[in-house]
Amino acid sequence: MRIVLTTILILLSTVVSAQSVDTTALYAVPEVSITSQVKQAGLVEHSVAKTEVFMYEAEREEIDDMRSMSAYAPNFYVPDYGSRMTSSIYMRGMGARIDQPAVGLYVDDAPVLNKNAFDFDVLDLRSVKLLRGPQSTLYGRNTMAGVMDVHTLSPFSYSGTRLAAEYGTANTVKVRASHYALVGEEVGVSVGGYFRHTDGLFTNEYDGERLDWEHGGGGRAKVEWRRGAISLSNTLSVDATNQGGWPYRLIDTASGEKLQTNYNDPSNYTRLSLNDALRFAYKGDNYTLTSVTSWSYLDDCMTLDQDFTPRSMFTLQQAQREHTLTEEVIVKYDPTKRYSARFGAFAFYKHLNMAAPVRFKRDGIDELILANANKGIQMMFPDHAIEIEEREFDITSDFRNPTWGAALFHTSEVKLGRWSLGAGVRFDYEQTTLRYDSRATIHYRFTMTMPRFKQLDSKFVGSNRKSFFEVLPRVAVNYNAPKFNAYATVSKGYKAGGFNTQIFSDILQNRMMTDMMEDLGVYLDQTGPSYDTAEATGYKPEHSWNYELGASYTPTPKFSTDVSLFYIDCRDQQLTVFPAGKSTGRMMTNAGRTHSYGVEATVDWWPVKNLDLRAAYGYTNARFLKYNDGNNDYRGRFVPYAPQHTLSLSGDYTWHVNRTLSRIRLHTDWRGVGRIYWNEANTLSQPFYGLLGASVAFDFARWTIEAWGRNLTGEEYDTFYFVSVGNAFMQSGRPRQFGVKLSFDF
Amino acid sequence: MKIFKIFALAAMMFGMVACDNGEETPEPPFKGNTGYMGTVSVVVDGATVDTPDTAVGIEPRNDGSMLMDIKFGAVKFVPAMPALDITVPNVSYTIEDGVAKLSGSNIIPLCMGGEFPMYTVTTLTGTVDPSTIKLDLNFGQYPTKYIGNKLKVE
Repeated sequence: MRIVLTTILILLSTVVSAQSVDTTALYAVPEVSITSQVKQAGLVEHSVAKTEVFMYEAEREEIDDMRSMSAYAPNFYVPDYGSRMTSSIYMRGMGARIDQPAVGLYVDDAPVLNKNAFDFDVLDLRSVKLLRGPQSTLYGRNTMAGVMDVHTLSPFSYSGTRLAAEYGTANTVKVRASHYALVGEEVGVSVGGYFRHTDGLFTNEYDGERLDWEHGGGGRAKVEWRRGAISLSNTLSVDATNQGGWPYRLIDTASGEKLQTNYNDPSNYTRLSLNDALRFAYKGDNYTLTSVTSWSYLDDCMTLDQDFTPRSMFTLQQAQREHTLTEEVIVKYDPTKRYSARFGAFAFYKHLNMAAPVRFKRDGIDELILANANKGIQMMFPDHAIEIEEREFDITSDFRNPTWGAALFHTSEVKLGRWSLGAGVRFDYEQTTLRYDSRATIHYRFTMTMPRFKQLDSKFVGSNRKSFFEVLPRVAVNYNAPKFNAYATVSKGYKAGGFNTQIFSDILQNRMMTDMMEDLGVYLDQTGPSYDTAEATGYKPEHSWNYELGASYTPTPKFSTDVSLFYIDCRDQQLTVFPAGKSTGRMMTNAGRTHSYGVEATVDWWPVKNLDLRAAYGYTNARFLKYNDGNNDYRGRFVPYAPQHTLSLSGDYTWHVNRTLSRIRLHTDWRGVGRIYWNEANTLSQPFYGLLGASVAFDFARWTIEAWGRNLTGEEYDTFYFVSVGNAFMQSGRPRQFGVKLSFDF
Repeated sequence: MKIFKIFALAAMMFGMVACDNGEETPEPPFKGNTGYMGTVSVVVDGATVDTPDTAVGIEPRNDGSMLMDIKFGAVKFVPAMPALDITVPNVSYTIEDGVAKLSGSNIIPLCMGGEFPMYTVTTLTGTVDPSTIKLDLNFGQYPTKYIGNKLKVE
């Protein structure tokens, strides 16, 4: 820590002798990447609900990752729970607690296909555009609720050095440094890095230690070359994280009281992610060709006290290594002013190796395995029982999961005066295979008949393959006047199916029980659900049809508003459920059918000079039309985890002072989210709550000092609910925080 | 003529062998391990509880000792108990007129991984003919009968 701070001071001291540069260039309307332009123009640009944030606004609103866009964009919610591995995203009532989210992420035109890598700090974010509603025609898999398109600063947009250091509550330190330069007229280079540390905000009552500590850092290097009609760029980024987390609080079943976080086994998450994206673009007379080739590598490991109690029940260590290759080629063809078309091809391959051993400890052996095994036996032989010799043992689960896919897509657009008619279709094929090898060895005996322990080996080995072929159309009608724009779209969304790797521990527990009983020659009546089948390892794709009407109105440069109405008919919606009883896993299930409808509205208003007001509201009514999990019928209930309302209010006032102190900026924002139901039965929920934030910044010629506060009213709220081993847990939201930030641009 | 003599000699030898076997080891009604399917009837508190579709196997020894193990598959003595595999070892048998007659007493069965004194077998009698098995025994305090038909081997 001391070394880092010393480095910062040395870097900051160089500022005094820095050259004068025009920092306003940073905040000018950014140049949009050619690839995004080619991909989104036409069908997407004018016929979609979107929230777009540029650099100045992003820094003012402290938007530097996906989570910080929560509620800022209507009906968009990324809860803060668990660790950086958990990037659950909810949009318009759709989302997924585990496995891949329903919102896609693109960074500098390259897709991030693994949600474990979604949660990272974006260094020098240039713009972020959140497209709401299905974008599957252009973006394919796992974008049925939307796409977040992030772009970072280009050396062709800015030349100079940027430094920042921030200190806040819980010894939270953030430092970043980056440099952008042009080498001649054709080559631009940039390099930057960041570091973060926090002691954490939540304490584990078990040992008095902070839970959600973190050390992390990363960097990015970018090289861009432009000559005439050709542009070529390569971006290499790295992010490393080592953190605690999971401040889960047990709910006392009798009183309903949330107890303090209290568990005994260490829990942490480490992650290394590398991404490299090579972009190429060529502009011809009436066409543009773009290509994006990306490679990404993810190496992470999660260690977890999975019962989250002071008892020694069971722990999980899940280590993953994944390589992903993607290639996308798009040709935009504009033969006339009235007609334009896009032809695209996309392919990917990713290979995931995962080891996820679950370690059963003494309490877990007694309660989760022996209690079940002895339940029937002790009815007959009350003085005898089955015993397991081990104090602890592992259920090992090794997975290999290669997945590949390919797609072809096309869009056409015809302009008829102020009207535009657009249509597109994507043919998308994907194949995924899961090879699994789950094993456990124990020594057991029945006290009545077996003087010595006997070895028992159980295994669940096999493979399962799934393939999906999808046709994903989109039709749009757009009316575009100088101050008014309106559109109507019909589109199909798609989220790939997959495998329930988190249920394998349960499967092997069942198998161990069966093997032990068969070895003893004892046959218990089957009670409760059994997941002792390969079929339980898979779940189906999720599909939706989205119908949307939208309009935007900008009567003056000082006022703009947009509104959208949507209706989503979702079939086989993927939902996380916790198997009944004292199970240890969780699994994705296809919920039958849901529908979701709602409204979104955003208003930007500059009533007087230097005052900027913004409001964004989203309403979602997402309910099950058909969902029976075998025990309960949830028809008519709200879809859990997705908020019904999001509201963001913000105001900024700027004083232009003098040449030395150029500006004083006051910012305040209030973001509300809720109600959020936590279970399918809708018996538990988080009511609507709001978080107040504020900051004051003093801008000097080349540097800025800013003080900020979040959750200033100390609002107490919950962000997550789940059940493990029959116990219910909540995670509380972050408490009041303060900080100060010093930044330089020179 | 020579051929006739050889044939006659061979026939005499065959007859001697057959005569020897008939005197020392009567042909049993089963060939090695054999399975049966039938109904086990257990008397519990004065009431008879029948459990159909119960499998029983016999495993005669190959050492000429005229002993066999009888294996009951998934037997319940009371409805609430888990079904158990029980092996009654070392049941002696004799063969008369093509029928095996079984007997045994004070045999500790094997169950749940080892010897199971709670179900010590007493007064075991029974017969095995080429198509059926009949058993009458006490498993501990439970008088038990079993009648089963030989399973056809496909």
